[in-house]
Amino acid sequence: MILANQKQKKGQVMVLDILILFIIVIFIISIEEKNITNYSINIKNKNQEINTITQELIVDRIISDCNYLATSNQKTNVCYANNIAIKNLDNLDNNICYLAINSTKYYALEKQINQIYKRGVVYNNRFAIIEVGFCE
Amino acid sequence: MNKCGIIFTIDGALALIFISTLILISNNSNSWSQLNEYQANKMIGDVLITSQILEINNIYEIESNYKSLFGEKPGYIKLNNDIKKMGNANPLKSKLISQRITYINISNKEIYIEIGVYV
Repeated sequence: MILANQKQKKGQVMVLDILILFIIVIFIISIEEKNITNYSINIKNKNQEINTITQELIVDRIISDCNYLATSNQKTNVCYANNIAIKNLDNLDNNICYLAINSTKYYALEKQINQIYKRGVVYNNRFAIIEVGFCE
Repeated sequence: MNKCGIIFTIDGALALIFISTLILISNNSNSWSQLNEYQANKMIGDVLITSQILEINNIYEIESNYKSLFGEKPGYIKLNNDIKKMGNANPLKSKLISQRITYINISNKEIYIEIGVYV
């Protein structure tokens, strides 16, 4: 009788143990699933972020490099960032499909623009907003 | 004894999974806000450098340039001893990004410009 009782108790403990283990495993799997989903979203965001930074750097180069739109002092030959003129538009990156200064379009391809970057420049001795649009 | 070993192994594996979960949770990045800060920094630099090139010494002109780049984003402009605040920002919710420039203009006068933006 006592032996049967002990066996029954042991069985109950085992069932309880397995049940708790099962609950913990389900709990961890659900957290992990959430994390993996978040992780994949993060990777997507990171790629988008790298793309944005690359495009920002391209725009930066356009307005600060004399091989693109930046102008240089003819006497000193120093290239001035943010002081631009419309020139060398053929040198623009292939992904650029739109360029406007104070809403006047200087370069526009018939493609869908994904992202437009705004920067402040000096154009014709006045403050102006340059907009550079990128297409995929 | 062997069964005990198996249980400990399962326990250990569960502990490792739990710890890795916590690490993954704590590793959530906030890089998007850093990107906004980077973009704000670039645009502040634009307002400052263009103000220097054009030798702007009128705070309202700088304000107009600020607004054409940042829209209604809260911030401030300091030009020598003058200060102009734009919008109302909650310092607890937003971060202040600022840059300053000092140059000597054509009249040999020192010009100090500081621009701050809440992002």
